[in-house]
Amino acid sequence: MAEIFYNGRRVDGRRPNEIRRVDCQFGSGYSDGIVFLHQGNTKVIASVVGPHAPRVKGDGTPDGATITCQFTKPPFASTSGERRKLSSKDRSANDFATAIEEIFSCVIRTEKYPMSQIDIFLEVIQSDGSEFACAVNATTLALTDAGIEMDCLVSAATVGLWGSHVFADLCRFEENPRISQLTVVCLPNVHLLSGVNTEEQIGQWKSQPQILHTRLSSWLPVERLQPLITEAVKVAQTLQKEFSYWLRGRVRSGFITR
Amino acid sequence: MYPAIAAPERHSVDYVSQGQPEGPSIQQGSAVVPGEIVFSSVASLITGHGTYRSVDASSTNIGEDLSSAVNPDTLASVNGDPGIQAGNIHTSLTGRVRIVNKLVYVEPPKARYFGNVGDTVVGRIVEVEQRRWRVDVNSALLANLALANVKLPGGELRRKSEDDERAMRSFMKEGDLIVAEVHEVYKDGTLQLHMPGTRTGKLGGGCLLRIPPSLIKRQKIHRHRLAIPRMDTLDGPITISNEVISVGLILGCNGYIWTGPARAMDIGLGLSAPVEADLNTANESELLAERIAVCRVRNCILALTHNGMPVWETSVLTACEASWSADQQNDDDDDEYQLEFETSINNDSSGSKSRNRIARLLHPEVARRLVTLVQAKLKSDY
Repeated sequence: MAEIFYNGRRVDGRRPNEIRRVDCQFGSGYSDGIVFLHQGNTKVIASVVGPHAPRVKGDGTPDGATITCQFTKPPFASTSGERRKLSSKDRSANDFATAIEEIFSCVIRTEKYPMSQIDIFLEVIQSDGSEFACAVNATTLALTDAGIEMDCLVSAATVGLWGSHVFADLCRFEENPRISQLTVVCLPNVHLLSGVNTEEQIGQWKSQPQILHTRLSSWLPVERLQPLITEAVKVAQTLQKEFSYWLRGRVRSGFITR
Repeated sequence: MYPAIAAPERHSVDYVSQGQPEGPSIQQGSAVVPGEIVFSSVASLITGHGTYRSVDASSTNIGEDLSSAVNPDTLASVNGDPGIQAGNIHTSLTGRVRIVNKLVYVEPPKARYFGNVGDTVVGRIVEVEQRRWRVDVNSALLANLALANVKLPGGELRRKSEDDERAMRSFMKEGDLIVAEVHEVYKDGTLQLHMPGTRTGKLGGGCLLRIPPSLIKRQKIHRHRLAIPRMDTLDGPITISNEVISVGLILGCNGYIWTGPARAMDIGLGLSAPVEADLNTANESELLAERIAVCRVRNCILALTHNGMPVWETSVLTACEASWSADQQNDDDDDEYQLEFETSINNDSSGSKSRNRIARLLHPEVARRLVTLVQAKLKSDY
């Protein structure tokens, strides 16, 4: 294997703080929101159906919508060439699906859709590192493309700690046991997006908790974990800014009816 | 091992260059994403659909109360609680901001139907319960159509009895298409439908489309009868005749569009006799010409929708006329046809290509060109 970090460059040619190229394709089909998200060579299709009436009678809750998620990975998804059939009882996929259900139960304004159900279908077409983060980002874009009300755009990023260097947006070669990996799902600092801000609001927003979910691959002491979380939140907010550009551009390119 | 290469170039719209944030202020029609602050907490505006106010938890301490007591010019809090101040107005949808007097709301480009009283909707019956039908109208929950709100076959006016409850499946069963009006919107989002007058009822044979509800223009009349030029074959020579075929079109406000023969639209309303009884009188060429006209309307609506064009009667009619003119033009210039579009179907054994004039409307290039013609014609008309 090539060197992971050599002469200021990573194994795929990036600097430590560079993320891979993001490309979003918004589809139109029978689902309410379809997004094909590329983060480098990691490709995830997220489709959202809903809010709709529950298919099983008596399944809805009167105080909000029920969110279900299905995470699948075809056998050809891995870029390493390994072909492994994913069964329905796979622990990793079910763990990802449950985590995404919990994350978006906090973010979606479920009280707007009582007795309803929102189905999220995720399919990893190609996996080249940062799989869970890419799935969360695709789900966010698909939900807001389907017109479902959310408090904020959720963004997720995976960072790795290699010695004293922090790698942003890991690829497949950097996801190995020698690098401590941290995935963070967080909300953005929304005061950066608009110009309406004052001094106390900046201080207030910076003090509010923003991290919804973390996944840490190995044990780390606190003094090394804190800068890792800080860098992960920065990378996630950069991605969130990029996604807001995509969404705003999509709204503006539509036909203006009035 | 090879290093990961960058994603290849995509032939898609460059959304990033168009997605720059707005200036320092939000105005009418600005594009917003969820979580964005559109107005500060001192703005005396009412939050509507797609906006919400965040509650400031840090203003409940004693210092804030003292400062607000000292300053008499502070705006009174919206909630009426002296300790809790109203927060900033955030958006929760991706779309465009609309400000109407003191109401601020967001119009999403694609969402499910949320219901307005008086809207004409097209729905499909999914369940028959006791004294009511459950109708799918592309909303968050299933709509209800009570037995007391439908007309009896034959038009007699009397109260519904238990015999009518037992005969509900003979009126409408699962899978039937209906056109109804929204009677009431309940607090949890459930819609109550009713069928007043002669404009609503069960629909006959036709074609159902589902498009985003925001692409249907809100108008007074949603039930139209279009005059489509007659075409007898899909791939034969076009015979120039002044005959037209009447095609019915129902634009439901919920995004469902029904198009079919005007005969099916008229017979189905009022839960009358089944449509198949009248098919014996029509011969085969009449039915084929009618079906070709209905398919032209359907494909024109899909072409308009895929290019983001709103759908209403004038735009559908203009699109059908444009596709008809393009058919006649392409018949004269055979080489230009084969050079520009390659959607022809090779059916003959001799190698000559036949052209499906209706299916080629679904090609992205043909659809984009059609929408350009429609926009130019509508702009010149207005």
